[in-house]
Amino acid sequence: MAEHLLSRRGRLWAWTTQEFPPPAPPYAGPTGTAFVPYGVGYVELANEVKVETRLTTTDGLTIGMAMELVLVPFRTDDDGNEVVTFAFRPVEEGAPA
Amino acid sequence: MDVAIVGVGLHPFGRFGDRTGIDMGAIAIRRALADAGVEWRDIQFAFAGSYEIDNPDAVVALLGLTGIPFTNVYNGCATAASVLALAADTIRLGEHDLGLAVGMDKHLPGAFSSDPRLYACPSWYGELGHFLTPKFFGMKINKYMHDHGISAMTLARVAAKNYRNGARNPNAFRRKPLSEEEILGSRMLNHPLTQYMFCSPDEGAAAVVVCRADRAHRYTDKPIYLRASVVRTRRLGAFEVHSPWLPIEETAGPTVDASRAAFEKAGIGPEDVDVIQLQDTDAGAEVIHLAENGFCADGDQEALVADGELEIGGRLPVNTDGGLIANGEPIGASGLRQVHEVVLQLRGHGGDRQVPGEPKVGYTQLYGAPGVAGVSILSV
Repeated sequence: MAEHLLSRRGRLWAWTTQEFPPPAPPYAGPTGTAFVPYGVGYVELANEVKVETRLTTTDGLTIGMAMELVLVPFRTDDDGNEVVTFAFRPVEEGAPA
Repeated sequence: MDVAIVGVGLHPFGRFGDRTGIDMGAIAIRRALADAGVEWRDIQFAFAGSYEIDNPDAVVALLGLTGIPFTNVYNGCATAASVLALAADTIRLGEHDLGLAVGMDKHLPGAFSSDPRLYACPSWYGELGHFLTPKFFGMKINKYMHDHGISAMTLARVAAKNYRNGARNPNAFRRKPLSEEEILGSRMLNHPLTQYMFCSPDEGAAAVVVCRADRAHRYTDKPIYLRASVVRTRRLGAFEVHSPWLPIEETAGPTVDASRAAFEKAGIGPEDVDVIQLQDTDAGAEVIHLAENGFCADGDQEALVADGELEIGGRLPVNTDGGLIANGEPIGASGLRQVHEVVLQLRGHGGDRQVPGEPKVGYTQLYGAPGVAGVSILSV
């Protein structure tokens, strides 16, 4: 097996919103009044793979839209460190590849 | 060796306080035995399905310790279909003549959850909140609506139909009809699915007595023949729950595979089916499963639903007892509830839920995590 770096860009293949906090455990993110609904979906990386991912927004999502990889804050751990995760955000028109 | 169903029994679905899942199982079994006119001592083998109860075969403590082979089954939301398929295969093997399939469960309210590592998923997948089934159904129907022109009103109409049918079913959990407006206006859980579009985990049990078809007339003057009982799991490329990644190329899901195999075994096609019970985890799942099981082409559902064709009196009666939406989801029992309803319909005992025109062929389908489907085809 060899490591292969995946593309940072893809197209939104499927999406929904998560309006209620997932059961914890195993969910480790903010819950109760701290829970903020988030987008979740699959982004198709051309000729590679579709990856399930958080999305940076719950609005304006349409299947087929261009998306790019970002890192977003997820939670703060017990030592006060910020834990980040990967997500995809809509590509802004005219943004460089 | 052909298989016949000669008895069915059900414990109502809903919430029953202190009554245990095992008690519900025993009640369903006794009703099925009475329906077949047999005693527990006549049963030569059994299979039991449950998610919450690790040894549902312990129900023998309430029935009689006869020493028969009794195997427990768990296959996600397709558990009950697997229980029936195994019981039927045991008859087909020629080992035994008369046996029992039972499913029972008692769940707490709220979404199902587990340790993702038990499903070959990494821990972070669960920590991020991805290890959850409702969002899968949200994504799947959201995409299907985009690809095939299905509206949110269609989802509301399907849910409303199931609540309406549940109101005619004394064994159902949710028996209050809800309007499309109430359904659309309820709390959004995973776009586009609102709370009232989803089934809810609950409690219940169902049991079926199976026997060799050539002996069926000893027990009933109207045996119902099990023409097919098939289980399939996902192939690579199918869009399933708990998938951190998917390949680019798509393949059909296990429901499509199970459906095709079942029709082939039964030697009939979707056009021959008179009454249908489909996995309506949510209203979107019923819409999609209509096409995956071969009853219509993708996109046809919009007109079929608007024209009332899925109603009890329509061309394609679906979920005549209210489905999972009105009955709730006790995982071990649901598929056998579907069989119970089809048997009643084919016997002409559907009461005010009876599909008119003397239905002769019935169909049931279940789908569950991590990507397993079970289909059965029954006929007079």
